Amino acid sequence: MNTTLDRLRVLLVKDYKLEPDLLTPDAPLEALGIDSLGVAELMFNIEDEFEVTIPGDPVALATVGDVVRYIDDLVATQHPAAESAAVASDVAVPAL
Amino acid sequence: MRRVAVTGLGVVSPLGNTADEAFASARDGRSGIHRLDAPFADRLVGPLVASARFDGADHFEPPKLRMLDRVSQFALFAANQAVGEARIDLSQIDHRRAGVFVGTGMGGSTSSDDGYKTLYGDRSDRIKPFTVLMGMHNAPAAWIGIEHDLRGPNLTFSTACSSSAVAIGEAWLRIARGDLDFALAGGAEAPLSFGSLKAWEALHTLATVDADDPSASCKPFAKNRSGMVLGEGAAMLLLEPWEQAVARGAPVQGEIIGYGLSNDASHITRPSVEGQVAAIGAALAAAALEPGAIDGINAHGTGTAANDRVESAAIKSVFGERAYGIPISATKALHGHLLGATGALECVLSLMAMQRGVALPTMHLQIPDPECDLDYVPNAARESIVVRTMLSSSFAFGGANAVLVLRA
Repeated sequence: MNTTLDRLRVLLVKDYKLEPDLLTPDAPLEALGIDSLGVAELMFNIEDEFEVTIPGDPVALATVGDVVRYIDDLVATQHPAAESAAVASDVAVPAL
Repeated sequence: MRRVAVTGLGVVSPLGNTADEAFASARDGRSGIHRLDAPFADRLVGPLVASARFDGADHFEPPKLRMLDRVSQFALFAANQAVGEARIDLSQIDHRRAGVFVGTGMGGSTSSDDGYKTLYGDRSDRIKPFTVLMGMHNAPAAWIGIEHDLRGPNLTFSTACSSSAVAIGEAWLRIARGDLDFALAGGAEAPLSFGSLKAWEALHTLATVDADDPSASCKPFAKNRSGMVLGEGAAMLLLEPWEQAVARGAPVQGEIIGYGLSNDASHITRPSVEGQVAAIGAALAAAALEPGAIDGINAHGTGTAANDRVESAAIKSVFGERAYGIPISATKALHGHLLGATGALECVLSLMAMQRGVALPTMHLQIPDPECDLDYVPNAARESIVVRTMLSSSFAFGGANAVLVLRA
């Protein structure tokens, strides 16, 4: 089953050529080479992958886990019906 | 005014990705022009380009590469090469007295082209978030400044085909008058997107394909010329005061001794003899030289009828009878027209030619044009000659003429 983290990992591996093993929930984005500008671009790709619209409000995202939670919140708000069918990753991301 | 030395050369070009490689190709008459291999090639009348064999993925980490248009990749690569060659530890210098001067005619036009394709071609609103920072003209210079922590003036010049001659000239001025102690100066261009090629084609300036040999399609000063071929790449020079270069034992590659500017102020594309004569005159005056001191010229030599005839007439006007005895090289026959990067590439090739006692050939000049009757060093390099002082000319759309005076 594809959790939100799995799908986010696919994006990051494809775009940033990062080692999947490095993409743990507590990994800081900055340490992965994804600065605020990188986050802006990541948001664009998340919109495509998860079929959500990122609101205009700024949001502080420091770690991979923060991004996972943010995506899950957006999906829950914007696709409430689909969410129950999806595999909720929530904070308790499966150990990697 | 202080003397200004060139102590590092960096090149990405259709003739090779070091200054030595590019020079060897130019000397041997090996063309970098070829038929375009791209999905849109069949929509071009003359599908010809001079491309650089360069993949950014070989040189930049993915997170950085994603922010670099091809033009910035070229500029950074060439700048890094120039710094490496100059054997200077830039972390030890006064960063405030170090500047970056880059010429580019079209900036990150490939990124803009991609954005337009998304909006208008695909009718999607999903334009990429980095489109602005990749497309902006000053991105190449900014990235060089970031890479080497150069905190002085970071300037971008966009005067079409004379952009990088202007960049080198302006850097020369600032070092000569004592404002700066280091400058990375040159140009970068990546104009081989579909939109750009199509726009140049619409202007009827591009060469048609030579059926016998596509690589010989650009024929400066020849009667059977058919236009220019767009090329891509970058050339960067490290400039510093002569005394400083000598004191630190730097590998001096030559000297910039003058720079002249003029504007035709007459027509947006058509060149003028008067304007070119004025630029050459200004360059000679800046170098405090009489015309008799010039013993070689790297011509603008685009391979268009408008340019070649006017340029030949301008050279005759400045040098009189002596014009017939000056070797004139038009290297665009081989590397194509790199637009905003071309002046810098030709400056590099000229410095190297002088150091090696060579006049570079104007290739594909089999059928002379009676209106272009000077010594263009046709079809083969001239070896073992003494060329101490050269002009490198760049005459641009917009009437922006820039001439550099170089010394071996």
